[in-house]
Amino acid sequence: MMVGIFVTGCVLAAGFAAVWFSPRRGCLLQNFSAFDRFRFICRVEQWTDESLPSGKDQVFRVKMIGRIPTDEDNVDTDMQLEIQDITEGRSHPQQVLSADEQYRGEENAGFRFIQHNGTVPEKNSVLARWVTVAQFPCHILRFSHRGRRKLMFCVSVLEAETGRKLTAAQKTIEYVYCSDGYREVHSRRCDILKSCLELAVFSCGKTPPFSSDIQSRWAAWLQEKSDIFMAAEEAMGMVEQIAENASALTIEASAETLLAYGQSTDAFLALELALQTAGFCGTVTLEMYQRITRIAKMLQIRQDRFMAMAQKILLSSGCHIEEPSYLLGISPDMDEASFRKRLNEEYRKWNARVTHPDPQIRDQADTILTLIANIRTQRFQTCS
Amino acid sequence: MSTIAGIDLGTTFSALARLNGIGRPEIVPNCEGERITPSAIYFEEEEAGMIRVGLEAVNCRQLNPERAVRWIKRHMGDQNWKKSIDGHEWTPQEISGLILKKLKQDCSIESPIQDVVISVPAHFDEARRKATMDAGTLAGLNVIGIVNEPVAAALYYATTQNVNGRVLVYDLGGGTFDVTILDIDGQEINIICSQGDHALGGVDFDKKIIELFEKAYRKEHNADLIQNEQDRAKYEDEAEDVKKTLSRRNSVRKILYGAAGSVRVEITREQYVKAIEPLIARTEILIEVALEEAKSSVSDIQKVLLVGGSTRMPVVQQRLKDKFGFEPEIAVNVDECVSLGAAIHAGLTLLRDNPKKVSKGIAAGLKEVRLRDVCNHSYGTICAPIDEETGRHVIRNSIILQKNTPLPCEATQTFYTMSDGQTELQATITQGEDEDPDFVNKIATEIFDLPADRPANQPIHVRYSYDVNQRMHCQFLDEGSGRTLEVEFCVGENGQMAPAEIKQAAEAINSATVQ
Repeated sequence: MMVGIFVTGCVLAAGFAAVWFSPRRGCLLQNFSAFDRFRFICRVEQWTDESLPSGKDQVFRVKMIGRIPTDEDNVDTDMQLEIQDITEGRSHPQQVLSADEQYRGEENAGFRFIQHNGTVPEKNSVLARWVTVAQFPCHILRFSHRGRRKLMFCVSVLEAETGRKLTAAQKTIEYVYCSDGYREVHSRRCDILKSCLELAVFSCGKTPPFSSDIQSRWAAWLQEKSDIFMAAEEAMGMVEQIAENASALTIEASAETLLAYGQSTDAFLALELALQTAGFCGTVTLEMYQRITRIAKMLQIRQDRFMAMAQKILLSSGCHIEEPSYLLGISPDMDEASFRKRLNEEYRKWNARVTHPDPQIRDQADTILTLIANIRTQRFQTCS
Repeated sequence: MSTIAGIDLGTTFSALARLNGIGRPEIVPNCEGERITPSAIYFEEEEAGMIRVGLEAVNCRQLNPERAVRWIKRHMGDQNWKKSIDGHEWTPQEISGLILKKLKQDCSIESPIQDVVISVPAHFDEARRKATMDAGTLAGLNVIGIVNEPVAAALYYATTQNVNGRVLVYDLGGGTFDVTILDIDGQEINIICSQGDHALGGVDFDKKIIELFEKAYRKEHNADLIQNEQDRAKYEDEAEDVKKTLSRRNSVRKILYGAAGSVRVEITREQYVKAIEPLIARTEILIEVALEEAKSSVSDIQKVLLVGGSTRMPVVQQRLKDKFGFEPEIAVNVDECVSLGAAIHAGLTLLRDNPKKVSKGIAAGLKEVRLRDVCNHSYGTICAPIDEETGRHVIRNSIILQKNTPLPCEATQTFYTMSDGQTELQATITQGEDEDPDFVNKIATEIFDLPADRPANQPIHVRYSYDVNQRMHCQFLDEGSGRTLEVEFCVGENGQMAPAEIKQAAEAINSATVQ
């Protein structure tokens, strides 16, 4: 038995030595690249370009070297670079996004870079020196979370004509990401959008169940306003969750979340949704309008901007407005001078729109002018 | 020398006046001997190519309303409005062109009419003014200018009546309402401001009477009085008669014949006044708005001049008397003063632009007349400033030339490029008062090419100027490179229609027999 093992060992060693020292070693070992001393490998360098402003001066440089096996001579090739965030393990890679369109695929914002690599002159040609194949600023990359990330760079050489992968190499490096990750941003964004939706539900003033039409519109709005892709099911799930808890909602809590975590434009976004929701309802009651006015106040939106938004959104929605004088900023307790001034201002504004090329705006303007005249007539007839 | 004329192309009536040998305007009657011509068209069914204009058209309308057109001025500038007759799509310009052709034809018997000024409501925008100019061109007229109706009326009052001081012109016509405040000092006229309503005039008062008819009929028979276009045409004419009668008497009795039977109705002036109250309120609001714009109060107005047929209504005159504390002035025929003033304006325009075409007598008659007009609208451009509340760029209409600025005028504003390497910007010229770009008219848009490889925030100076001929000149100047983009246009000069379209439409109008 011992002799058998010894003889087998000797035969294997002799065979390995014969292959290793053979001039055709490359050919013989092309399917066993670990043994190939010219095997295709890549490396990633992180360096500072001092000509760039601080914060944008960190650059990744990707290089490659080694054999590029082809089936024939003179094969035209491309180089493809992909990056995966494997901080949570290779089995759970997180997508790395690019803020620069030059480093994106066509279908999504995931990092992807392809460029022409030139012609490989012969089968099994070897790139004998390190060649820089990509160089890009680090700040264009977006990771799922803030902090230390483990990144796997994958460099592939592809046959240009067919896109077939000829060879590939990977390199893993560590990188510290100092900004908020997109998942963190998305989560915060979802909280803000949720608050907007809560305020819209509040403006509606109805108790569940909400009509499927309104719920679908809300879900579509969420998908549209979410900064990154949100599946229809996820959006509808969020809507259903809010609708179920509608009775427990408070305007103060939602407005506070928005003001504390949202950007300055989010308050306007919330008000826009509240007004659109009121428009979907078909009829805007005085109570609904007052609730929306309260939302605008809570969100610290100026009265004139609120009025401009309310007029634009509610009038274009085609809904019935129960007490339109409020939409013109008129209230019953106004003294005569303020009443006249306010109506005249509105008249001046809408009269300038009455010759607008868009027939919908013209019709709105006509309606409002008639309304203003009726309100004025009513008030002064009542007074007399 | 051809006759210098002014045309009031009104919603319900039109009139033509010419300057006589000493520069005094006078109305030229039409071939029926009438001083004003109804702005109505009827396309004859029996005789192809025969088009009736004026009183004949009004009389024929009830027979076949489908082949008739009235109140075309309300559709001026609306590119979507067309009247289809025997396979031809008539545009508002063409229909107005037919009315003008009739006026030109009737009034050219003594001497040919060539150089004219056509009046438009003060609040007419660029598109409507251009469409009016096109209509004149289609009728074979040389339209040397456009004048605002209240300005024309004021010109006539100032040159023929003894009017001085701050004056308010109240122009309530067949389809539009304008209020203009101006200062008159002898024969020198300075316009201060104008306000107007495009859909407020005699037609709207008639509609209120039709509503009273319908209400009374429904109450009696529980059925609709008007069931087709023929009924509508008939009751529109009857309503106009009732309105005119109510200006003289306290009540009118009528028998209404509908499909469900007849009904005898009595409409009192009180009922009528109540029905038109919202329309009167609109005129009152506009007076207040104009006074605010002129920074004047009621007590500053020394005279109120009435223009337009609808000012004959006693309620209108009474309301003005109540508001201003004195009787409004009705010194001339309210239907004619706009065309008379337009003729004076035509004389002034020719004197300024082509004095050789003006006879010595006319030149002497007009030498004392001075008119200083204002910009009728605000002009601006679309930009993206930082919103002070959100800190983000927002798309805004920034006004460069303010409405009511005395002509000639000029204003400049500086804007900045937004991004690094920006190689072009969209230069948009807007007309309108709103900050929100959705609510303004974009009257011209051009692409301004900029040099490459420059950082953001490059200054672009935008200069608008507006001369007395209502010629507007816009210049976008890139300070860094010295490159400029020039946009120049005259109100109505090029018209809404392309030259080929004008040629084609003019042929159609020429080939039509207008009677």
